[in-house]
Amino acid sequence: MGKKLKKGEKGAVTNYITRTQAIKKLQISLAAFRRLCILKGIYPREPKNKKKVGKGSTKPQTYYYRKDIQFLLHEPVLQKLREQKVFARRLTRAISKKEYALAKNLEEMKPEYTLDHIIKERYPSFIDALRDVDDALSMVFLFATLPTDDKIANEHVRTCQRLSAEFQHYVLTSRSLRKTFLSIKGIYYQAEIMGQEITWIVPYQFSQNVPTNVDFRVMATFLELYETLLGFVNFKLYSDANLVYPPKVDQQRDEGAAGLGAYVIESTQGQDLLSDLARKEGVSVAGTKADKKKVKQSEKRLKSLGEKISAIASAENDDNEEDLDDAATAAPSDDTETDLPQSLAPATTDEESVPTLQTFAQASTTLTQFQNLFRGCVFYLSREVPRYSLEFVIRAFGGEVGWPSTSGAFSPFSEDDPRITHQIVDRPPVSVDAQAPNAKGVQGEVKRYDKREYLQPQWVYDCVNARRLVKSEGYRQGETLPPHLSPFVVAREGEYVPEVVGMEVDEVEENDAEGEEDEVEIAVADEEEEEEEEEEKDEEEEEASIDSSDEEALHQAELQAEAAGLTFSEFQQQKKKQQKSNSKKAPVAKESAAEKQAREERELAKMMMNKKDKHLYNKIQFGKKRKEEAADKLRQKKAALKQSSGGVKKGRRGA
Amino acid sequence: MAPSTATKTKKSAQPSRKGKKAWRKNTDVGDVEEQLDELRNEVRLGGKIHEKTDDQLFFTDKTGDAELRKKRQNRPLRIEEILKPQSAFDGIRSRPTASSSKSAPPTSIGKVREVSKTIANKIEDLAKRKREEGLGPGSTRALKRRRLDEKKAELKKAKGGFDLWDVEDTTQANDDGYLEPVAVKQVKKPKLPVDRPTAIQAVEITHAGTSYNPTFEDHQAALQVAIDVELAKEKSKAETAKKMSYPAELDELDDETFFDDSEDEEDDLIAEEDIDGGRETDGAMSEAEDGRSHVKPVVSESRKTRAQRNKEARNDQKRREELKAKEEKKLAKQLNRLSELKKQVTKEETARQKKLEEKAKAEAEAAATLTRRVGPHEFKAAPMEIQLTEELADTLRELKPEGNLFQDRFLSLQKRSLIETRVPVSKRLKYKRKEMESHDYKRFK
Repeated sequence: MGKKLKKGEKGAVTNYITRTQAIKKLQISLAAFRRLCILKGIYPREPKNKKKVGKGSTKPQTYYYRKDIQFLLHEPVLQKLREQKVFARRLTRAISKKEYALAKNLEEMKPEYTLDHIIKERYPSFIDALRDVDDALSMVFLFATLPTDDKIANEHVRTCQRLSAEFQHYVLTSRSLRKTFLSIKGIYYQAEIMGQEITWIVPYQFSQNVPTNVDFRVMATFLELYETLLGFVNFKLYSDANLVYPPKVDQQRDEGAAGLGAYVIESTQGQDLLSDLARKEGVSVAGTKADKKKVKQSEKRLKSLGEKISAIASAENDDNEEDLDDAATAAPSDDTETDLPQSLAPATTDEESVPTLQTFAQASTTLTQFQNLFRGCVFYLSREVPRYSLEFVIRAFGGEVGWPSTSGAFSPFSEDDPRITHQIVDRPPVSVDAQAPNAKGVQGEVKRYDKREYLQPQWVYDCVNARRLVKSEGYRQGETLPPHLSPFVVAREGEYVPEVVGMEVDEVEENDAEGEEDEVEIAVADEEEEEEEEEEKDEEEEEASIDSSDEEALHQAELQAEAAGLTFSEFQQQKKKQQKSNSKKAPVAKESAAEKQAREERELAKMMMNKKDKHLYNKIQFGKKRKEEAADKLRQKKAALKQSSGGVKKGRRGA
Repeated sequence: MAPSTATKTKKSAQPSRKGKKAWRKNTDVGDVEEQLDELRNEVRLGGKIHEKTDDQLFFTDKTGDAELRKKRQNRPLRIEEILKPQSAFDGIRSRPTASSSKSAPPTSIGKVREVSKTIANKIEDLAKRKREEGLGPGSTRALKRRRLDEKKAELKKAKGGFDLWDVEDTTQANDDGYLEPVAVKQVKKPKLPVDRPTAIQAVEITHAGTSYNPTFEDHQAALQVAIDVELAKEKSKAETAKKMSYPAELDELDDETFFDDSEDEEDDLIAEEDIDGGRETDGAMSEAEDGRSHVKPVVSESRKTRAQRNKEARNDQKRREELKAKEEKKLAKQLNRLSELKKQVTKEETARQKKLEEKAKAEAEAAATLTRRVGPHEFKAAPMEIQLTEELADTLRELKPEGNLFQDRFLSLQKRSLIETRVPVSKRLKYKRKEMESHDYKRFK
């Protein structure tokens, strides 16, 4: 017979440790223990069998893994925390004894810990850190908007403001902003950095108060960690983009509430990047002889890059090319170099087809176009619009921003600048009566310029989400805005996707948009029906090609049909049918052999199901059908509306 | 003289001296002649030495050798040699003493002048005061300032002042230059299972209906979500209230039925039966008919004969044998199609394994989105941020933000189980409040 085992020496009991035990083992206070756990990323565990772990008691307790606590024992921060405890004791004693000189000396010797090693340990690679930066960004942006009070030190708020501004600057120089969403909670942003989608939320200004039921010490500890993390992430991002970190802060501008303009972003070659970008309007960069030489060399290199680059470049307008030359020496982060790797993501999600050079080039050009959405647009923000957000979004897509002196100093241009193309306003237009001569004294300041669009701020966000400049109808001053849709919603199969108003500029573009819809559908389709869907898509393509009466197109369609495995007779039948129902897309097209087989197989599978499964399956199918019907209804409604509105327009034209 | 020559001749082997010629040839006279030469030399230098007296030959040296004296004077003492440090390095001093601090080299350039002790002290005081006031580079204040600046710079650097992911330095160089650089052994992070809900995003995107300017459908859908949550809460609350409430049916019950003794009831019944009297037998019959009686009906059966028993036993035996034979046959058959069976078994096993794996995967996925309770308190999500239709703003300017991001972030941490859920505890009074009656009013005049 073996040695008799005592209770609590083997099994689950040995794996866990209660919080009280852990604190005793580490010899620190509860508050310090909490702080250490947060910093090291150690969190409480719930044992599977509480009774076994609690030695018979099921008292509600917090448990940790014993090994985790053992790991904490080696932490240098632990020692520092203990030292801080002693320090606090000595300081209070000195102060209570009124030995102020001693207290001052002590204060200078305060033991402080650093967290760089913890960051390295928790995020061994930069990508790991980027994946976890969402939380850090949200926290830092939140604290940057808070007022300083007894709970939050001024230093923390300043640091958060600096870090958030630095990150925003990186996003706008690398042009990596992708989505924005104005919710009632705050503003969501999504950027794509190094292939990682980074989402963060920024509160509306002056709306945050510190609630009483939030443990502030916990938040402050997280903030401490996240400040360090974001500092290192910013450093890495800046240095990878050949920018100087930390960027210089123009004290005067900062105090004058110049916002993002207070930071001087420089490339490592010592050139001020942002001012270069701002100066692209006609004014050439005043450089030294050496600089000019460099420019010439880079120009030569650019020209010799071959067809591939020229194909990309030709799609961009002249303005773009000029800028390329301008920024050739300044920044590799500007256009050419950063675009190529980023373009991979949309290209792969598009279709399952084999990626060719052409598709890559196309994807990259579309991305470049999106990134320079507001290029050439000059915005003037009225005082009632949120400048902190609009300035960031507009500049992140290549636009220029000015603002009145009431919302901050150091605006690059004034309101009467002739270059301004858009003025963002968010107040009701002055009525005709108010503009009558007796009221002119009051309203005299509001001067309207003819050559500008007066738009509401939602237009900017909707442009970004639609990835193109949407029509300004519905967004003008005083008009009722179309709904602001969330760009984060992914449409499921068969769902109705409402288009953003102003998306369809021409008939051609409308078709385009519909094509996109189909693609979305395909992307989210179930794997089972993938084949079927493809088949459908093929057919649709055929239909589109038949629509055009061109002979060449017809031939092409025939060839495609052959490739798809259709016989000529079938093709002819389809063509006839197509001609019969000319404009209307046939929802129930004649099913192909493969489709038929698939349907039969599905029916067979259904027959083989047991009663319970069959019931469930029928339920699911019923739900799907109902949804589709609802979506169809909406589509029909829209089509009818469009027709009627088109008729009205025509009528107007006629009259 | 003679003995010396004798020893010499003795030493050397003597050659033959037979005959006059040989004698002359082989007799060595060299040493005689040498002696004679020496004598002649002595005569030439002032007389034969052995004829002189001791006084003439020796004198007492009273001055000594100057060279030697010189050498002796500069030679260190043996004891000093022993006490001299053998290493080029300084020894360990526990703390600066008066003697050690004095040995600092003089800083003033030029001629060292001797001054009186009082003046020296005065100068020392002055210098000390100046040092403390922070004048001059080596002053304590300047040193302190520098130290503080260095500390501050180091702290700043550790908050994002270098490329953290580019440093690949696990060795630590020793400053003394003696030992080779040693790789510092890193403490390994224990590999423990991650049982947090990892699928929950750090920044969860809100419902599309919570846009500041939503579509009607989205807004209705969002409202529905919020309503569903509230309804579920209401329902659970009502259920608990119902469980906890005093049931109304209890009031409807009679006191008699509730509190009367059952024995009394039985007695009453018996009394009634007694009154009936003649119906007793009928009652018993009816009981039997109802099948409520507890007595088993007796089945009359005659005993089995020996022959019957034997027959049964035989039959049993036969049946058993048949069964066994059947089993054996089946086994033989199965043995024949062993490979087939094996295939079938493995197929079944893999199917089961696959099913199990799928189940485990589904469970893991579900667990990754579910916030479980850690610690004494359950996680309680904040109510969804939503605005009613009349609250919705027409423009961005008129928007009234809903919810608090501070709370949102805090609850998100709890939701992802990064921290345990806690309930704010109000401060309790340490001592019980004691009520006293003041007697001041009695003394009022």
